[in-house]
Amino acid sequence: MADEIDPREALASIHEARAGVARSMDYPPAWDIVFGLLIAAMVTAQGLPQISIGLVLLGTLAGLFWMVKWWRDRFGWWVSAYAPKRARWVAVAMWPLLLCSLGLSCWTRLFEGPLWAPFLGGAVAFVTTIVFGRWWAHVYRRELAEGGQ
Amino acid sequence: MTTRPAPAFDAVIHAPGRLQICAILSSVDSAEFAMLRDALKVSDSVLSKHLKQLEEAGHVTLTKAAENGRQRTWISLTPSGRKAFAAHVAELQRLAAMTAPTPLGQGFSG
Repeated sequence: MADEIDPREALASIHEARAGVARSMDYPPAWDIVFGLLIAAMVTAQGLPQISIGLVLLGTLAGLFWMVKWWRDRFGWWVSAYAPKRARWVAVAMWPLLLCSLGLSCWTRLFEGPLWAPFLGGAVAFVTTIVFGRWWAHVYRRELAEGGQ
Repeated sequence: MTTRPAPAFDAVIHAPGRLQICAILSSVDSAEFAMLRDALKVSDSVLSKHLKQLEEAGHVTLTKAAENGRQRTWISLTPSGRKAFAAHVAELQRLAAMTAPTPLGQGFSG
């Protein structure tokens, strides 16, 4: 059976199908901004009184749920940040910076740090999320275009 | 660290439509029925047949969910389906390398 196939044609059709997914991934910058704001709110909330943390977390989780739903409705597919082989390392690389921003925020509540620390932590998380989000999308698109799995 | 899968031809995956379905599904976590149908430019019934064969081979799972007041079907590759597809791609690459045309020598350039 293997003698009857044209492997180059088959590989080209795989490449084309994946490139189609990459081409379809055209989303507005507002996506990154909203995602950045949600993560920033989560981080900033860690420096706020206990009651506020629960409310903010509920709000941000609802926001994240809505974002996933919006993406699935718009594109008809979903991929987690950690699924693609190469792009997942961008998601992993984001964590040390997010943990630093979280540490800044927790400093105020746990060790009576300055009042501005949670907001600085939130700002760091906001920028980090946007930059790494765009970088992740760039690496994922390239991974698909080059035929990676 | 990941290891390259051992090349293995899979006749179920190899049909053109199913090859493209697997290529798309291997790039994402899950894809919706309508997205696959539009990407492949086939009818609902043709896509259903392909998906049924892939499902029977244990390569994909279909999940139905009510969203926005209508039933939608989401499809994803199973872990064994991912492995089978990776092995099939490795086999195609092996075959393509065997049949690769030899580059023209300098004598043909002028």
